[in-house]
Amino acid sequence: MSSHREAPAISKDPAADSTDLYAFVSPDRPETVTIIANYVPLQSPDGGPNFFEFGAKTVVGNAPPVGDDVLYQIHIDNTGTGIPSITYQFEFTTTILDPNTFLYATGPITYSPSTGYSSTWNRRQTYRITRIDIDPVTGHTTSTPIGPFWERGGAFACPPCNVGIRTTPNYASLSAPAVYHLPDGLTVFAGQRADGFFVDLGSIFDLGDLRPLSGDQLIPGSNAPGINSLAGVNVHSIALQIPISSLTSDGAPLTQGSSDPHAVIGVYTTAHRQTVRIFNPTTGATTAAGPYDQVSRLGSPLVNEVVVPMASKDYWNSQQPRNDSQFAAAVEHPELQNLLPVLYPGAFPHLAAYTKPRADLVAIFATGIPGSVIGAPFGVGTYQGGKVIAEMLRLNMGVPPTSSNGTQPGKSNLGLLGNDLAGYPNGRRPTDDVVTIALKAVAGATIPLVDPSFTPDAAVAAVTQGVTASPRAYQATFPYLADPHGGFSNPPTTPAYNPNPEL
Amino acid sequence: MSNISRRHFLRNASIGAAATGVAAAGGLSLLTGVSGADAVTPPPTTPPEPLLEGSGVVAHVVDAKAGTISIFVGTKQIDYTNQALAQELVKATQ
Repeated sequence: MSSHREAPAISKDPAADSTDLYAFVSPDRPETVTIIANYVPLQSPDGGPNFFEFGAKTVVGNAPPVGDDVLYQIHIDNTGTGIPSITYQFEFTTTILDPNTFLYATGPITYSPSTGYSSTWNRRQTYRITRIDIDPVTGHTTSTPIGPFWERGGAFACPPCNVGIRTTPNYASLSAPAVYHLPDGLTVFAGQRADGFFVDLGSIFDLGDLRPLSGDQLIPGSNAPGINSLAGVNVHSIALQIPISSLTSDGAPLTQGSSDPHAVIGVYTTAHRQTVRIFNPTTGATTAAGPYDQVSRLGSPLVNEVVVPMASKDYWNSQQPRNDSQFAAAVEHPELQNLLPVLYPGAFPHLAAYTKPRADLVAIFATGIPGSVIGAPFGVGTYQGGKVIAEMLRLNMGVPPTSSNGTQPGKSNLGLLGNDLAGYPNGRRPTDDVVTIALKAVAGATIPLVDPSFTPDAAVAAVTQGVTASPRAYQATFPYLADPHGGFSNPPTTPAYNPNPEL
Repeated sequence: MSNISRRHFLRNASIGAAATGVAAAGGLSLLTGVSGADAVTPPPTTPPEPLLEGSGVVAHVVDAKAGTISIFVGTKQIDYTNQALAQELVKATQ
């Protein structure tokens, strides 16, 4: 969850496995939208000696790049066709300075504005970005490389993984230079971050238990607070902060706020690998050939996770959103809706009796929610016109950000269900409790939006995973996910070093 | 909680999954760059590499009897039909 290891095949390919996608109006730069696509799930911070990295071709010395790589993309549909009009594409390169050592770093890694990262960092990654504008009618594409030094692996450097206090001392001084502010208002970052998603994996995947409600479960236990399974783990983030005027279909700023006809975008991320890969066991290198096939896809959280059936999950990953009508039945009649009344006997009688197609879930996941359903403050909502069933993370860019510090009051990590129109399912912020939101929605909380005759069961109010976001995982400014957890300090309970242990 | 209700739950869950299964993707097509269910996703901007001596060319004999061969080189897939070549490649494996 929300898309960590969500499908059988992609769970065996972490470098290409998308874990979370966030899209929100930047709270400190509301004229921009921030999109974060996370990959490489469940990283233990002390996972050396080969620390985590993006899928990339590898360069040793002056030799040409070898190996297979992963092509990462972030797509934006601003026309409501289910077809992206804008794609940002990321290609990474791994460089090994000294192939004759096993060390990730041969000494403390430092950064100098004039010379960059020190040569003590032996295995490093750089990347290049291309913006591709697509005419959704003709399919004509225009590619624009972003940044200089296009031919040498790209202009942009990832920071090192947070290995520990000796290898990566003062980590903030190493990660800050990897945030690039570009002249056209674009800000980019790619590299290791603390995983901001919070979920009780151990409970939920143990036959759908919610720890706070365990006493009422079919196989009962004791009620207890939820446990954040992802506290202390890292991911690799690709983060973009883009001026809203670069995302609208008319290329202009919004003039009518949330009611602006250009306010809504649909966002999703994909990863691609070449069709054929041949492993050379003597070198460990892989030769790849053929087209880049889509192997991972993520828009809204939890859709492929708990809506799409097991046998179709990798197929779903290969599909384009505009073809999603083939999955409509799984959304209209979600398996989880049938499971909840069984798992919590007697708690959901109204839900158990509800047999109509779930138009509320179709709106949340596949078409966007019309503003008229929520009310005037929501403007055009997140509705993209309903021309196609296309699962994406939809964001009304005209809804101003909220905060919990009083300057822009009203922030709720339950998003729309907490009367906070700036949160999921209007886009998704890192601190949104999408698990509880999705559970409540499937349990019937959102049915009255489209079917006023339905009264949600009283138990819906109690539905929660009981997990709170850890402040350690976030920061107030781009890229909003905090510096990664350090390897030396992992697990956090590691005792202090004792130079004279009693053996 | 009874064993019956537990079995009922597990049986219902598996029936639901089977009923909503979707068939796997169909045959190959001639595509370059990024492929998927359609060609809407844009191709990568990386220019096709020139075919150097020693570059990998991979041939997949999809159907020896019909002579269907998929050839992979660079970022291309070429679907090629040559019954004699397909059978020759199969013969080489024996």
